[in-house]
Amino acid sequence: MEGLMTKTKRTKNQRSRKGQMRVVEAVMASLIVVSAVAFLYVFAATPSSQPQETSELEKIGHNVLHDMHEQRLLTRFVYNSEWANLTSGLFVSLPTNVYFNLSIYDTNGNSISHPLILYGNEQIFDSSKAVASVTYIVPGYQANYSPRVLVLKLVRG
Amino acid sequence: MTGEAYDHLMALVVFGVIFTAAVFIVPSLSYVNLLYLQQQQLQNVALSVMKTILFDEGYPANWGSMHGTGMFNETDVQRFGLAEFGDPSLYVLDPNKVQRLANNPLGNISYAKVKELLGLSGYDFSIVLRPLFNVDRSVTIQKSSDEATATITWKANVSRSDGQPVPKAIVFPTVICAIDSNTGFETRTQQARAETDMLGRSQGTIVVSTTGNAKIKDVIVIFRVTVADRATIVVSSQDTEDPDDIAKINVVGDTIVLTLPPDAPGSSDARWITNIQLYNYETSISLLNGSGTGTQYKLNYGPNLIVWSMAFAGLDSTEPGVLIITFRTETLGPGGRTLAILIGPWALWNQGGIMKFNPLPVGSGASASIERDVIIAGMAYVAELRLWKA
Repeated sequence: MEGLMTKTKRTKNQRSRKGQMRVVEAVMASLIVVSAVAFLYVFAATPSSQPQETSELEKIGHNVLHDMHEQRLLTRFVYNSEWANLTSGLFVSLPTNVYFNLSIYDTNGNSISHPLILYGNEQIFDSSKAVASVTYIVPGYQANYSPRVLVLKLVRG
Repeated sequence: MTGEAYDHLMALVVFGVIFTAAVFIVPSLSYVNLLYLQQQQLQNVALSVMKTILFDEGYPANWGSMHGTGMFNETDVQRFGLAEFGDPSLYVLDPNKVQRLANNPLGNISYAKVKELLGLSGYDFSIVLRPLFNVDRSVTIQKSSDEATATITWKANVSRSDGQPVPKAIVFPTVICAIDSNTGFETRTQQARAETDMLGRSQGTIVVSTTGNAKIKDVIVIFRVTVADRATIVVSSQDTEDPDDIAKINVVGDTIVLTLPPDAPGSSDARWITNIQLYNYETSISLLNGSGTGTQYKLNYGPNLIVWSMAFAGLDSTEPGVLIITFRTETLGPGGRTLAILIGPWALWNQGGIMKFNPLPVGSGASASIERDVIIAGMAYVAELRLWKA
């Protein structure tokens, strides 16, 4: 009688262990499947917004500089050193959530001395991953040929 | 037996959690990507549409002003584009085409037609033209009892579209008065200058006085606001009770066309043009000095929409910013006649400086929005295109 009870208990223990093993198997199988899917996602070519964002900002920047040039204001501001007007002109022309930083060079790449032509925090241009840069050349003012290279950096706030 | 049941229960719970995660989270990751792809696709379509609208003249290239009478039929348009006719510059729009987007008495192009011409079946879109910045203004005009003096008190607040104030904007309020004197009718202009403070506010008072028996009959105030000489906007405020009762000013090419629907109130009253001035924000040019009598300057009210028209050579090329037309009108009250000033020409005036083409609400799904600076009749505006799936 005692032997029979011991045998029954052993059988129960064996079944219980089998059940636990099934749980472990199920967990492991599921983990394998999930990790395989996650692994695939790492290599999946997900689209990035940055190239499109910078491309759009570049178009906006070129559009604004072109329109100011078209209205004969850009050359006047640059060659007459009307830096406050240049800053204000960009401020009202660019979309409200776009920050800008403009630098001016001669054709040899030497920086033309001017105060900061900036809207927004200067550090944002270093920290942001989507900074657009537009290069725009103005040939001269009135009859004087003296090209200037304008580099306008834009970032969304 | 109980332990085994627990094991199976536990297995079921663990499997359920993992299954739920697999069924809901993984597809949602894909859905985010799909949404993003849809957004990118919309953005690309919007870019292409915007390029067509801004850079293409359309066909016929002068479709906004192809009929000398100023009348317009949308079936004449075979390709849509708003670029200035014969101007190679980018982002310069043709005012004759832009005015056909608004509800125009001489005829306008419908949203359905533009959508068809742009090949945008499956999409909806809206176009908004607005100034580079907002000018909220208020004007109070007080005339003395003998109409010899008018005191104009004005305020103008300048801000960007997000409400941010624009300091150091230059505000030029120009007061134009129609004066009836013994010697005839005249238009007097008086201008002031002010700069907005750090909160974008400016204000002032202008007093206009006449001598002798001259009387100030009507007053109009035009605001020219500039920031860095770039962004210029003109808004107006006038004393005439309902200028729409007189006529609407349209400019088609070199021709000024005055229109009034036959069923408009007061449309049978006699009115004559006494003066037409072209105001280009800095200078004022007199185009016509009428006598205020005779058939040549009389508005011919009747069954026709067009009540008066006259061509002025070179008007189109001067890019008329504002046309100021003074009328002599008959009144039922004492005095028998009075003067009224009307300004024009086109739809941006009638809609607070903002023009919307298809102001339908944007669809609930993804939408794309593109903004570009454009130049219309020498003034800078922002053109905004929104596009979404129909």
